[in-house]
Amino acid sequence: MSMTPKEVIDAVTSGRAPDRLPTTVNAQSVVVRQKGLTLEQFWQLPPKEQAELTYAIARDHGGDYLHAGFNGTLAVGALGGKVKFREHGSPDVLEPLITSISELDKIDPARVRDYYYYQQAVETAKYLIPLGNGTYHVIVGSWGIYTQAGLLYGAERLLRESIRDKAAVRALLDFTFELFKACHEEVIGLGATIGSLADPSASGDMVSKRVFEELSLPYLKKTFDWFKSKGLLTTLHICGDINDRIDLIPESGTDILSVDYKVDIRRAAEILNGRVVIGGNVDPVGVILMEDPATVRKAYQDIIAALDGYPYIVMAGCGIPQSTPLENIRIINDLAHATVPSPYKVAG
Amino acid sequence: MSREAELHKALSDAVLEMEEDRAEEYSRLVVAEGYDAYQAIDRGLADGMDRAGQLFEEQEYFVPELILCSDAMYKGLDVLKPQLRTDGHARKPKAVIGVIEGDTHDIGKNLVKIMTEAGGFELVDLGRDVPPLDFVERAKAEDAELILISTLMTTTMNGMAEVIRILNEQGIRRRFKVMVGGGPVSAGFARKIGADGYSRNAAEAVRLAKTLLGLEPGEREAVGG
Repeated sequence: MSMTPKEVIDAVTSGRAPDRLPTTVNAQSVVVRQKGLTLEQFWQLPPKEQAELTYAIARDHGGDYLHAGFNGTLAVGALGGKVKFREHGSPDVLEPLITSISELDKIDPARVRDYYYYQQAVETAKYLIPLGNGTYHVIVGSWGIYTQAGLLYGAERLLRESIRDKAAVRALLDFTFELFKACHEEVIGLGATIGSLADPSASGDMVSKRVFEELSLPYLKKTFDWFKSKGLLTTLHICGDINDRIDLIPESGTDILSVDYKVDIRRAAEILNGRVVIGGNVDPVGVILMEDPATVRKAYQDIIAALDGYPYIVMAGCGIPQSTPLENIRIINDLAHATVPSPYKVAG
Repeated sequence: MSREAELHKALSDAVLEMEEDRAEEYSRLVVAEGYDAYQAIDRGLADGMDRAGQLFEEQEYFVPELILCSDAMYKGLDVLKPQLRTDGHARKPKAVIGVIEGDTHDIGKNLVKIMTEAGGFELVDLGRDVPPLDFVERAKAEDAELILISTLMTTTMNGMAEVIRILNEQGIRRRFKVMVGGGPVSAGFARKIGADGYSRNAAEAVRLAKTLLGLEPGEREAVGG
């Protein structure tokens, strides 16, 4: 009998080759759009309907995770910031919540629990997690603390203060960590099994390795420690070029690292040396969106060959646009299901 | 070194070292001692920003450092700009710049704006979350030569292709050079959508803009001039 999606992920993260390649490429945003729904409308669906659609998309189109929980961008809205929903794509913050870090004293992170979309997320998780019935991992999480802090305070202000006033930034990051816990604790308690962070502002395209080490990494570690204290596996994505900081990634405590196409994945595998599972590395727009299925498949085959027995999860290199052809997602997941990894040459 | 050259060097260093107060102080000295504001901007402030751009390309500086350098440059400009004579300088090449619809991340766009202004272009900033048609209509209205489009999100990159499609549809594609950039954008993507150019970062964008318009490096006009 073949492994369940959960067993496949459990195998790769414990250093055992599963019976097929794990994949987390998920068609949810694409299918939601094809059904004529915006993400706002999707998140407004009755929780049971939302959960059933989420489950059906994973079952029918592939991807070894079920996505649950609350979007970090909406957390800014929950505390009173201006968030804009869009016809296509994810919502984003129009204006930061605060203009001075001292304003945080007046904000209670627990207020997030009064927010409509937070409550929708929790109610949906109550239906979704039993649907997975232990055969899927249920993933929660959002922006890394450094990136989330930029949403609260304004990214440009955060970057300035990251050079000029690190103590103030740390106060902001401490608040943001409390907010993060308030956003995710309840769904974790319901049975989520993987904690995820994406920290694009910590990329080498944005900040120096030193700023990453001083301000992003300690909070990645803090958050992953918190996830692990609750028994979760952990996964990290940082957009863009992180070649110069791959050596620091194991310190974060992540089990899985999803890398952008700008990363030299062979070199990353050499540096990580089995301490962290790698995923991704394909250009989500230039390849997954814009190329034909055969070219998409070839891109993944090249990565698998280049990694030569390193534990790898099929992931996109970054967010997949909602207009991505479903056939390209299908070909990726078909490839994962048809590929039996060789025994790993390093411990996972 | 002449006194004027010393002041230019001090201005350039103040920008490079992210020292707002020093940039302001030396700009006041330029004015008080009767030196030409245009030259002080070109050989001082803009030169400092150019050097910062080089360090950015060498990965010595990153986005926060460039932002702080530009803060220093603008502090000096606040003093020197009112002193500029309005005649005597050639018309600058004009560009419209903005972040494509669906994206409100504008740090990259702002850096490209700063660097291209420092490199002698006149920029019309359309802001963020700009619909594709607005890029085209404003470029026409402003009689711009360049359209600069930025995004940080993979989910909004299709809007860049839409700008080019509209230009083609209106039969005016050859009137404008179109440059794209931003974290997830690649040279391959730029080629696929038919853009004229892609730059990896703000410093490279200035050189590319000049190349696309056939400008020689020596023809640079200073920011604010």
